[in-house]
Amino acid sequence: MAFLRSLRALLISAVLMAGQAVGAAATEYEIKAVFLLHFSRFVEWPENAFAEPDSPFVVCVFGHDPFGEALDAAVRGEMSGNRPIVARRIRDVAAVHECHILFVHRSEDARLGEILAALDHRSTLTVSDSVRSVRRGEMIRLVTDNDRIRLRIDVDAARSAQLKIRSNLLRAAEIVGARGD
Amino acid sequence: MKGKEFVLAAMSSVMAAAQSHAQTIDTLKKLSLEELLDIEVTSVSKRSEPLSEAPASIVVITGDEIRRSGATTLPEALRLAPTLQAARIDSVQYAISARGFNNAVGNKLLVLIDGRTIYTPLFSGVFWDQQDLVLEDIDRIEVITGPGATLWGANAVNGVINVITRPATETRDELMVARVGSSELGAALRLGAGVGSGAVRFYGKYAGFDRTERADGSKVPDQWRRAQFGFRADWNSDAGSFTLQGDVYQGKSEHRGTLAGIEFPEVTVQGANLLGRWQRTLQGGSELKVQAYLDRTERDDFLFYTPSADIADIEFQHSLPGATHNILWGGGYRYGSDDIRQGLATRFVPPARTLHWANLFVQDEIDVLDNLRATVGLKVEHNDYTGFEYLPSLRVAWKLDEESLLWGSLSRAVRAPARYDRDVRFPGDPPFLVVGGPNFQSEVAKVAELGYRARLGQTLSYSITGFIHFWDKLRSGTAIPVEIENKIEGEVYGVEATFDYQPLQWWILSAGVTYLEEDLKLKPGSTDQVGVDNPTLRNDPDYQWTLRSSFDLPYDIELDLRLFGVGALPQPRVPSYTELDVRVAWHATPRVELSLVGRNLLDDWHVEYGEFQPPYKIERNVYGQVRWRF
Repeated sequence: MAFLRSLRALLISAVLMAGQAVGAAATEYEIKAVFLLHFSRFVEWPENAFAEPDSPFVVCVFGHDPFGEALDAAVRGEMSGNRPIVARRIRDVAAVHECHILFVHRSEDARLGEILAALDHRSTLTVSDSVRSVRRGEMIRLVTDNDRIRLRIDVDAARSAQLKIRSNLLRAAEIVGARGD
Repeated sequence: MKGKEFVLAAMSSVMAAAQSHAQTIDTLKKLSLEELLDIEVTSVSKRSEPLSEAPASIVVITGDEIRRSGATTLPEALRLAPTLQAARIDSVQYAISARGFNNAVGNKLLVLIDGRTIYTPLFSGVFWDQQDLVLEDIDRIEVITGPGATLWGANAVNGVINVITRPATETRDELMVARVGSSELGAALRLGAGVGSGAVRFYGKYAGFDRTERADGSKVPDQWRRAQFGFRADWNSDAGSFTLQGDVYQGKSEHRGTLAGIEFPEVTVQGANLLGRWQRTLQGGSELKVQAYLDRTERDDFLFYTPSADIADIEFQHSLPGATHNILWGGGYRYGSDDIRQGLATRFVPPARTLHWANLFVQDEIDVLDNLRATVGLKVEHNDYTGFEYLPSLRVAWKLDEESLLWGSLSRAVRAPARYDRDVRFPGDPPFLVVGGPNFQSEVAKVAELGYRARLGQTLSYSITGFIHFWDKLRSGTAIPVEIENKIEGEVYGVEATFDYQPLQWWILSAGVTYLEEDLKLKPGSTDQVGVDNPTLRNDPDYQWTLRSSFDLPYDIELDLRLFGVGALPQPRVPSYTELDVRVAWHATPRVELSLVGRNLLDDWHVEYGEFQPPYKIERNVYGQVRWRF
């Protein structure tokens, strides 16, 4: 703790002296961007989710993009098996088919139902950070609790899309759906 | 726990460099899932960063707040700091100050853009019409009110404004902004790209401002156009992190007509600057930063003066972290050379002058107790006018608990003489009515501050600062012919408070209020005929307040409201005013933002600054803007 404090002290001197930031840890969407990258590793997609053996692994952001460059920085140079991971921004519900992970910001809550209907059990991992109490059918919800990000996973929804969530991800998450809720 | 190590790593990299997304992300990517779950989110909302422990009155304006304010110029963006006083004089001139002494010169505030001081040695104030940048590239503006002289030197008496742009590594995309409105238009283009281990961006910007009207309906010939180009490159190597940046600009008013057979041509301004910075972590964990810049400014104003100035500045800082002592020391040298052709109104004697400034400082931050930290520091600065100046400070921060901090400070700061104090003559030709004082000394402030900052839950935080500045040797005059001397003294005291509240995920409220009392008097023996109510010394409102509300609405619509009020200025009197700014923006696609901004909507016009008769009107205006990242 003393070490932590002294470093914090250093930070404060930085604020006053070098004219640096007041708060300096990771921002919400920097962390969430890295979570999306982790999901590409802890979830198994069926082969038929990819057009070609070397098709890219696509992480999409639907509508409002809260990540800015953080998502691009998170996936830059990353691979899922032999597939390069790429980030895409989409607006049109018709374009959701090309996504392996689809992130829907909380401001797009209202469209979640429409998006899920368009996906129609395709193998797309849907992730939202909605703050509404009612579940909307997304597979993973990122919940901010006590300044930390928690995962809430709907195993049934994932299973019906032929997505297999590895146990280490499940262990780190709160399970909802048939096995919980 | 790795999570803590991450916070440490993140913090030390803040020391090393303005931290980029990429760096943070790279650190985050090394963490396991469990460790990631343990990372504290520091900006879930706008200001739910860990409670700032800085023992000073600080407001941070984020880039996003600037975007959502609808500000189109740097001075307008500074209005977002409730602790600053900003008054628009005409189409492009502003008076900006903190804790009083607001005038067109504004010489008690230090302003830096990426570490480059932008005040002119002419009057130690800022020509705001010569300062511009692509606002979208601003990472944040840190506004510290109160003295910062121990670190920043003379002139950081009433505050320091630090404009910090994003490193080029964070602007690797293309951006285009175009705007047209009832009283201004503008366009900017920025191109960014990664190069090797770093990145570079180039930008060009153009802005035009319509002329101002006087209260009697007559036109002020202050229509203004300016263009600016620049670049910034950031890269890392084994030798540390490097920044190289530069700007070149030109601005021009309209022809100002002919009066009594005398032609008043355009005011033209131009300038260029180049800055390099090198930072590296040395063995043992200490940090070294070296920065140098060149800055040339030119101004051609037939009415006032035609100065050109060259500044060369080099400075270094070395920070040595320790278990209980954190030492920061450094030094700097600045060379300034100017040449001032006389105008109708003023002349400087001698017309050309070379000035030197040098400083050395040390500061120790001591963990006295677990929750009590003291910071002691001293800067010794030498200038050609007054020799050595001593700028000490003591700051104490007492962390009452995780959610609240009590702090206090004692410091001494000075505003060193400038050409405007020593060498000025008014008017431009004899007989002179005002003559600079050969014995003009530094204006001295001894300052005490007491502040409290706290957070209530996740959504509400606030900060309250009380201050008193004991001034001595303030600028005064004598009977005509006026000679400038230092015979005003007195106290300036007041309160600054800011509040941030996020009741809902999609709704942020911010408020601020300042209250100011100035109790100044002429010293015995002064023959000053104007007294302390001299608008070139001060003409300050005793209060101002602001309330901002930002909504994230469905369908990618943002709504931002800013209601603000400024008290009356005493002499010359300017009535108090209350105004409202509204911005509605629609993110048509993730990369295209369309916005409509209305400013000063409550009245057809109001007056913010009262030096002219009839006063200049600041009118209601509206503009539409498209911002496209591609």
